[in-house]
Amino acid sequence: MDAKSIRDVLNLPGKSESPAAKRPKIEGKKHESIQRELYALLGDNSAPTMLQQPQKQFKSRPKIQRKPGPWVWAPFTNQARDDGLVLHHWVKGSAKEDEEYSYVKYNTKIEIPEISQDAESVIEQEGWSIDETKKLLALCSEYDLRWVVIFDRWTDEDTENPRKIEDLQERYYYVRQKLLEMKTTGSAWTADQLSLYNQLDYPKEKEIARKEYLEGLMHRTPAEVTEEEALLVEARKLEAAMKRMNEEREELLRLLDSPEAAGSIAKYSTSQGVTTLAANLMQQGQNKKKKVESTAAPAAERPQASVAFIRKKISAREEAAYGISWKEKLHPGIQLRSAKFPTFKASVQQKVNSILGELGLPIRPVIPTDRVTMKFEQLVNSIVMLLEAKKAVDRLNTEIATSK
Amino acid sequence: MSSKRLKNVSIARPFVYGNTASPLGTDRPASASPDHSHSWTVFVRGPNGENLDYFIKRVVFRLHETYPNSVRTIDQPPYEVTETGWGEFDINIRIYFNAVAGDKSITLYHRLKLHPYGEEANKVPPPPVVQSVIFDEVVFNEPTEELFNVLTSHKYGLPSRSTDRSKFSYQAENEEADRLAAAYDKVQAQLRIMREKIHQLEQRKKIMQEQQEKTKEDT
Repeated sequence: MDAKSIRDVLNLPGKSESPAAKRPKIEGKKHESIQRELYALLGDNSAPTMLQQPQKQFKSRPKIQRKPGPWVWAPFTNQARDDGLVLHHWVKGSAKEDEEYSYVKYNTKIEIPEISQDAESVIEQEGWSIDETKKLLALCSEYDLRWVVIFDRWTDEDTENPRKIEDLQERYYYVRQKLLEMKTTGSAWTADQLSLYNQLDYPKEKEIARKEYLEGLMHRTPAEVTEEEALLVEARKLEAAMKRMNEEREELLRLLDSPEAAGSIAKYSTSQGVTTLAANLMQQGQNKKKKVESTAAPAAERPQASVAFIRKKISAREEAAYGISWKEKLHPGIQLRSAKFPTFKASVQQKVNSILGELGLPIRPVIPTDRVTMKFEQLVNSIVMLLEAKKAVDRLNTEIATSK
Repeated sequence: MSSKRLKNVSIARPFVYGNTASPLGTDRPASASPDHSHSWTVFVRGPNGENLDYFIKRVVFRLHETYPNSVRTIDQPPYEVTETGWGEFDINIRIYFNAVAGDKSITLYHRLKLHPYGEEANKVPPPPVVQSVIFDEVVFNEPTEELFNVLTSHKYGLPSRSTDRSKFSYQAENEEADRLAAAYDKVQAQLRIMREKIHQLEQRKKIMQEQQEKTKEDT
């Protein structure tokens, strides 16, 4: 008795097949270098291609061919010093003895003019004594016009009203200007002197205002900064909108300009006017009907001005090649050629269309050029006449039949 | 700027509009919805593919409302819209002209054609591309001198002979004019016959009336 029979007896489900049969069948032919089971795992995919690892790019080594040059511990004297102190520093190459120290050229001194006896009256200014002025100039000379330092070292005689930095600056430049004036009285100013004089101009009020502005700018709160930016954006937007509006307005004006209406509509505003208009339209409609009778279009009149203008560019022969034609009555503007096809009441149109069909023609010309459209118009109008004639014949026939 | 109008002058420029359509094959564009069956292109261009941007500013195609952003504005040539779909509908085409032409526009309608019909439909195999192309002209009546100069910078522009690519040519125009003239002659001949008939009938009527009056007098 095998396991299957026992299961049948006990009504146990499952395992109907032997475990051997459950073993998945591996398809594919035997591979030479790789086990079949392993090969099957690869599936349909081809073997993954090797990923090309990008090589790390290092900075290439510098190619050094020469040997490093010699550095020498050399003594030097600084010409800016007056004590002749000898210091040492490293110098590339062989040390040269009598070379000037390279930083000496930065040791400069601003020339501050001295106040002579006869200049004292010239530089008089309210609130400044000569002694104070001399003290100021001395400070300027000592600190090379570094105004913040000068202001720091400044001591006021009148401690009640301490001088501001701008006061010191103003005084200094005023003195310089006056001295320059004194020096050049009698002789003509050279260009250099003039430009120097202008440079020495010190607008105190402006300077104070400028500093106040900068102060204000620095102490803005973040909220103020963002608000300002937003306002700036708004302003730009407004400017752009204005520009666009102006453009649009211009376009609109041009559009309104052309073509001008033939006449004012004021005369149609009364009821009497409307009646005349209606009568005129009726008349025009009748004329249109009459026009059907006379199919041959008369040669259009050619105004001299138009002819003259066109001839400047195009000869009479070339007119057709440029699609130019002459017409009797035109409404200025643009329209489609197909809009000129004659149309009729629906019942008449249907008959016209069927006759066109009988003649083997489409109800709309395939190439409605000016010439074709004219021919088409002629044809359709004659078809309408034919229809009218048929109607007349029918009417006469019935009349004759009834009068018998 | 010279805005003087040229009296009694009319200047025309030809153009074609219409669509081409072909059934969607296996390579469907990603945007095509599964029920779309055809790919189509609606266009406005010169009869031989000429550039018309010397007088056209933009073309606006108003597609069926079910298309996403159904109003398509094309500012540069080629003035065309390519889409996929399953149904035929009227496309409203609005052509805007350059500022020199007064910024005017004209509107036309085109019924999108996807399926062949008439003689075409019976052909085996069916044509791979269905097209419905209409020829028309833009007529500038009494153009300003400025517009005239712009327009005459290009010739009217129609090929002399028809080709497979374009059936619109001077040759075709002549043929059509001849056909119309022949038809006109036919109609005129008919008309002459009709006039004669009317004349005869009127004569008969007159005679009959005279006879009737005579019989009246006799009685």
